[in-house]
Amino acid sequence: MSLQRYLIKRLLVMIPVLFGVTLLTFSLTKMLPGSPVDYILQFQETTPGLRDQLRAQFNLDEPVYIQYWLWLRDAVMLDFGDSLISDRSVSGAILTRLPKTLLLGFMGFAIAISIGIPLGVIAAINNGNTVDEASRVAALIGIATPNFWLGLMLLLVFSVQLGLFRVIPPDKAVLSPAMLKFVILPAITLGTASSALIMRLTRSSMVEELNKDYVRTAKAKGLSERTVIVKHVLRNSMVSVVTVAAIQVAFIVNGSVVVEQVFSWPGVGRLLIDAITQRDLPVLQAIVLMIAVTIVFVNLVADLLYSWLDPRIRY
Amino acid sequence: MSANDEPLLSVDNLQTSFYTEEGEVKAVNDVSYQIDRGERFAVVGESGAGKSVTSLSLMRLIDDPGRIKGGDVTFRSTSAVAKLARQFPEGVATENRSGYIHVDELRAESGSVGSDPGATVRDRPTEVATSLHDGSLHVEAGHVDVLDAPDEAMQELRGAEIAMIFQDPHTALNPVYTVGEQIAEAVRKHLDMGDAAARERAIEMLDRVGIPDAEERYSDYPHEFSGGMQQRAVIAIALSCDPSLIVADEPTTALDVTIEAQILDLLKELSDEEDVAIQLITHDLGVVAELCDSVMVMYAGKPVERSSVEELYYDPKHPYTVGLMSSIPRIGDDRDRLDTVPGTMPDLVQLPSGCSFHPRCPYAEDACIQHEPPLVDTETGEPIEEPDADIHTAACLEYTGDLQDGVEFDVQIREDAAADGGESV
Amino acid sequence: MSHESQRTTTTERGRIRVTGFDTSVFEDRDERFDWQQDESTVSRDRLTRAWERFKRNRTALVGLSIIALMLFTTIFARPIVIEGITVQPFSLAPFDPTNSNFAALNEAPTATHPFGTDWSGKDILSRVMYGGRYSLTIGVITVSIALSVGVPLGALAGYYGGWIDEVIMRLVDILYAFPFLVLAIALIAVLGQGFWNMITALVLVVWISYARLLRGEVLSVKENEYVTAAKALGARDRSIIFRHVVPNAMAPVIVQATLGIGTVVLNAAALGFLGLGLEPGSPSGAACSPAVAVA
Repeated sequence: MSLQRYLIKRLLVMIPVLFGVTLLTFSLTKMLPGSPVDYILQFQETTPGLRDQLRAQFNLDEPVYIQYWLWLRDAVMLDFGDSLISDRSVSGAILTRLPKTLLLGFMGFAIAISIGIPLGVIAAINNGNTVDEASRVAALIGIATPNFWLGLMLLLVFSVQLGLFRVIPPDKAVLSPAMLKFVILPAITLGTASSALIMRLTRSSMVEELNKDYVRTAKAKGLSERTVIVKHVLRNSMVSVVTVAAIQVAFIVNGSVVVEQVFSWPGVGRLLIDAITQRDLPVLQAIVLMIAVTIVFVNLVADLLYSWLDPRIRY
Repeated sequence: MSANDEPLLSVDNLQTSFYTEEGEVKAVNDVSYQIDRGERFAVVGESGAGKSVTSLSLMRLIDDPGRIKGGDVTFRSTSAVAKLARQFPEGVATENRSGYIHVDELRAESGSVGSDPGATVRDRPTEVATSLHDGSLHVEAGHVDVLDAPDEAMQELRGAEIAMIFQDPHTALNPVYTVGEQIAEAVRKHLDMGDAAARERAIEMLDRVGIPDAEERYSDYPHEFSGGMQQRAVIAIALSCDPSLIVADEPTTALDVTIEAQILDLLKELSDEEDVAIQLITHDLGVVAELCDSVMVMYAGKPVERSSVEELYYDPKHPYTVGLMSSIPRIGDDRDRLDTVPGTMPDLVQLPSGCSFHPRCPYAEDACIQHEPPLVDTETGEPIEEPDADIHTAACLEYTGDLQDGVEFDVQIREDAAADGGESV
Repeated sequence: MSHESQRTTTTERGRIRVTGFDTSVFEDRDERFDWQQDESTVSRDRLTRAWERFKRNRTALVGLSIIALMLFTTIFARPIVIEGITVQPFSLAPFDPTNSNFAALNEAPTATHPFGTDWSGKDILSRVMYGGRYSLTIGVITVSIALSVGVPLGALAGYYGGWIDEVIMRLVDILYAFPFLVLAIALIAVLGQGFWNMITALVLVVWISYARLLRGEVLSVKENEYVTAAKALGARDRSIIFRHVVPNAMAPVIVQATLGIGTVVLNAAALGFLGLGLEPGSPSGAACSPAVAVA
């Protein structure tokens, strides 16, 4: 009951946020110097007649709010018009690339979680000794290493010098073995910084939880050290780890833009960079909007997960 | 039946220290006491006197940077000995080998183990373990050396034989599991029960500690309970596996006064009915009076006075106890101000010379600065060999005859009440 | 035995009274009884104590020396000239980072060029030393501006609540939906490349985390009694916020901001790598970009 009400309230709060997100994305093009027609024409000389025709075609002769409304109406239907460069539909271009980015993102996230949480637990249990100290240094290095540099180094060592991986991705289906093998290096590059952050957070929240009284109660019950840690402490630490894991989604999106560039990964991130260098505004808008909306929803899921993990939280 | 005459728990010369940057904190410094079966024993003192560390030490729940430096904790429970001997036959002490499980006396249901029962106990622990397991042998007497037991054996003791109740029930329960699950968890671990049986047992326990609608409250989370109910739930956890000793660490400090009385009544009732001994840690002499049989007063990590509760109240011996009791307000008091013990307890890293209490003691003399008083029988002035609940002991030079002026104070008992009780002092 | 003895009379509270524990003797007692604990920490001022603690922390010392080394190399890499006056005459960098040596293009590390040369024959070591200036200034300037935007807004939102809070926090929520780099990329795409454009784009994405963090802290700090006391004394809102509330709420923001400098530098480098940083010329990130072609 209360969870339902919370969900409704949370969804209502999302409305102004989503509105703002669309407005901001829309106004990106309006902030550009010069007329959008110039961008559509890629700054080529043309006749005034064609310019007017284009203005009408892209509704540029309407007032701004009508333009926004028309754009929003189409955007909701996932219709972002055609790419200015390739003449393909924008959604089509994004959809063909989305699976590859999702694969990379999920693998990177999986690596971040599967390395970060166990190492965080180990560091917390060894609080203060050499293992903890080593993990702190490792995390620091992980966070401070720029992902493009790490990617380049992995590529240089494992692909170029050792020849263990291909240098450019194979032109295969997303879930084919060749693709899954290739994705290992980019996923490691993507997941390293996140795993370091998750590790530090897991450690600090575990250390905090380990000092709580309920841990002593659990030990006084005669539970084994392992049960106390896994069942009691880890479960409580996860409450805060989940929130940060959700923020990591944004972090992973950030990283994938760079990592896709390093590994020539034909995903949405590369499309975004191409769109910027080629001034392909509809593609830029569509990708930015898609990412923002995804993150709004991921945050919603994180909040719900949070209140599910911690029974005390009932808004 | 010699076993039952011996105390359930003997703590001898227990020393626990914490190693901090400032130095070694001697939180428990040579503490000895014992608790009989079903006895309610109080440990009293100011915060920082080492009360909690004493109890955590006997549960072996001292975390880094703390360490139990020395002493013995002997736990004489036939059920604990039988259980541990079954599970850890290699831990049974024999003539050739030391161990932490001591089986002193066995009774065979039918026949005997091997040809010579007496020899079997000592020489063939594995065989004894099997026979204990199939029920053809029963432990009649024996004890466990708690401080020598490995961690796995301690896990069997904790919760099952020695249970604990904590100061703040609000933080003692895990917020993300239901109250019922937190009881059932202990039951599953120690009583060898399945999920359904453990659930039944947990509901029964909730009911036993006076939680109404126990069946429904089973699946409530701790935050849905009031403070008093939470403490009842903690007591239910402690009681769930039929322990023979419950260590209650300031169980009512975090509760308000009406709830405090209810919880104390519950503890009293439970210890009478379930025949469980209680070691109560408190700073409140009123609580001691309501619940306990005998008492140990601690100051700066050491026991300063030990006696039965009546003796302590009607005839306190140590100046610190006297100070504590002077600071209790009395109904119809005509004093302008309460006498309190001035100052604070010293830092345990660095204790005052001689008697630790001398800087706060109005009776202090030169001797107190130079000599550390031993714990002596207040009648004879002789140091005591074994802690004995019947002997009133105190650690003050007054009783070794080393003070010139002596310790002078009056204990007055209100006329009418004294007449009612018929007690004479 | 003891627990079996009759104890019928002890349960009534407040019946026993003990007198004679006469604390007045303390007033004129010889001072040899006044045992005093040795002061383990001689009283020193706060800064000295902080420095003492800092010195004991190995990680902090290592970090400090790295920062000092970086500052040193970047400051002394090339002379600094302000309006024709040479402020800093030293030049540690072996070569002029902008000077191309077409005899040595894309060279592997050698004794003369320890880091090698780039595609246009510029010495990479010199470029790294000199480029550090840009990285560090971008980090410090961005974080300072972001703080001066985020702190007042966060304080206002937290202190006043109500619609001010709603508006500011919804704005923060909206900006939070865009990943740091994606928003920065989009803004640079719109604003164009350049030092100040890059800083503007980074400030726009960085300030929100300070605002959000400070708001949360202010919400708890404003419940403190000293704030109520200041209000009761008739202090104006502005002085309450900036003299009582904000100073007590700043600690986590300062920590976050310190870490933020690093994040900003990394992201500026990533922007540079993506070809969206400064115009071809300076910082370390941009230097990596052509390396893709090599790999």
